[in-house]
Amino acid sequence: MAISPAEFHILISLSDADRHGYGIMQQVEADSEGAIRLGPGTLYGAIKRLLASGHIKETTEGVDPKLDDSRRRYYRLTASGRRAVTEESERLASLVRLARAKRVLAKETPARSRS
Amino acid sequence: MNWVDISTTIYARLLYLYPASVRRNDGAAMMQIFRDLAREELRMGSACGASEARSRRARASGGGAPRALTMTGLVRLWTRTGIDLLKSVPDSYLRHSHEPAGNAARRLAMIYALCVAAFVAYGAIGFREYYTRPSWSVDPRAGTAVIEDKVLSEWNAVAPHYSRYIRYWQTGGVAITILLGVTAAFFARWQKSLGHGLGALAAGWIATAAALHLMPLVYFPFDQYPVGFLWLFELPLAVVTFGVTVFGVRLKPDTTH
Repeated sequence: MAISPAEFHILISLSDADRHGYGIMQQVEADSEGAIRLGPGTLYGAIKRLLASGHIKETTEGVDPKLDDSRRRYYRLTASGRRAVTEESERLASLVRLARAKRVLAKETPARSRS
Repeated sequence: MNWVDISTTIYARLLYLYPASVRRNDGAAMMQIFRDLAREELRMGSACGASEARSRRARASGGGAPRALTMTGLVRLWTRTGIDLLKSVPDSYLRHSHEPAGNAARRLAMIYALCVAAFVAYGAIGFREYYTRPSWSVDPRAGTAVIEDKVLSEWNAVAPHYSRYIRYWQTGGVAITILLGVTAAFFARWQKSLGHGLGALAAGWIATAAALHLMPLVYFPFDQYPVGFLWLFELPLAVVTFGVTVFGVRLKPDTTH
């Protein structure tokens, strides 16, 4: 099943930690440097599709009720979700390689140091 | 009451745009996210330009200093929310289209649209001579003298045909009214919401009124009426049909509102 850019970003955001809806939204926005700004409706539409496909699951493990509102739903990447995000990343990487080979995209430059 | 509370209250009302099942399952979580967003946009504020990304990264990691409430934040919040609603509301209806009542409602809506189109097309073509005011329909504002014998003889000549036109729209009007009521009732069942059903009934009624305006006018001795206007008198029947169908299929009003 193809995953949309929003779903891909959600899976990426869950790859290093379990997050609740708002946490996912913030992480996606930060990861994409503001290029992808999900709203509540779009976010929950994507989450519902990812839950239905088994790529993520709701979790209550490891959520400290003192640190956060226990009413929030937390989500975790499943093995299937990790496979899906890896496959999609590899697909995108191969497209980038192809674009570089065809000189559509400039060659990779060394990362600029951040002050 | 501050802007966060006002915005959250408005957003709670806007959630009614989504199907009932979405509101039931995700409504509370969406409200929570909106409240977080509102607090973020209205109380935290954000920097512009290049530093915005840094600010987002800081917020994602739990940082960020509180700033004053800004009108810019309010505009940004509602712009983002408006775009989100425009994208996600139609999508949520498409995602729920597999529900059996949804299929029935969609099929009925299609049948209804075809029936109205056929009804209007036949009326417009089969009775097209009535687009011109008949000589027997007297306009008192014209100020012309009325020769009663002449008017009566002209009326008698066309009476059977004209009466057929009147019967046509009266009978057809009742039939499409009943179909509209049933369709709206199935929509209500699909959405598990009487409000959505009544909304569909109103929308269907208005769309049909517009379509019926394409048919020739209905003339009485002194006045002329668009068929779409006379459709107003069918409204009580549409409401009764809707109610009978809704309660006939034992629809329970959505109690999650």
